[in-house]
Amino acid sequence: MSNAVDERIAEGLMSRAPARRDALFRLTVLERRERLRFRRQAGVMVATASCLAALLGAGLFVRPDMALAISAAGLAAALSIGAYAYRPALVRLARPLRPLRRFF
Amino acid sequence: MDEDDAALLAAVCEGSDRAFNALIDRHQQAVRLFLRGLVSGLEDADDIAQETFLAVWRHGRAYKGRGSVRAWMFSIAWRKAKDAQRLGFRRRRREAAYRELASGGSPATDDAIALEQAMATLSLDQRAAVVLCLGCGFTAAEAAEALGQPVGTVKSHVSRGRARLAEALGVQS
Repeated sequence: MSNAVDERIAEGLMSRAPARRDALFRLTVLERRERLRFRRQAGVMVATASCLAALLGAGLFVRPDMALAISAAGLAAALSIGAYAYRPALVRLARPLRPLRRFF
Repeated sequence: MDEDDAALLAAVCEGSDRAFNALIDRHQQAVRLFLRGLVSGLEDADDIAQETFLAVWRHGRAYKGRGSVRAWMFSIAWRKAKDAQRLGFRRRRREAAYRELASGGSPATDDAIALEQAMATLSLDQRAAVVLCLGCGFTAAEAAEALGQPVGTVKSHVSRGRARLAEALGVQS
């Protein structure tokens, strides 16, 4: 008797269940995950750029005679950070050049 | 299945998108059913379910191997549902949820309406235990692990919940 009652309760509860496979739900979770990733990456980039700008500013203040060297170092650091942040895109861009590896 | 879940979770922690997709596909129905039993409003429940899977992705390494992955996942969902209730996260009142169900009319829907009304009279803990054990097929031990409660408490909640729901269905439990 108890099993029959439990089955009926389970059936009633399951009538509110979503579909067993729901691609839309999964895509929504993935979309939220990508937004979260983007926010994190953007936060790290802004923080890094701010620190770099502060360091460069301090360097120029302390040693104005080395402005060129400090600016070059700042540009190199910015390019390195950019390359690290966008490395998947750079790898994709470099793929057509792979056949040239045999010449090196 | 739990060994598969542990392997999937380990792969998710390594950054596998395929594993994360598989984990969602495997558990989304049960997690969403559980949350729909706790929170009034299908969108609110699904929103919390999405947050749950995001938390699994972010904090997968927090699973230390004690108990099943499924119970750990549901414990996250349970905590988020309680937080949502505390914040007054009710966009629909129970009567609106009842109207939503009442738009059907088949015998199964009549049972669902009666169950929904009876569920609304249970406490949050009782609803959680009932949905896990009678709806999602959890054992009392696994439900206790997910809810962070003693097994005896869970069994008591299920027993009282079953009696109330059986009364709503017009049968003796």
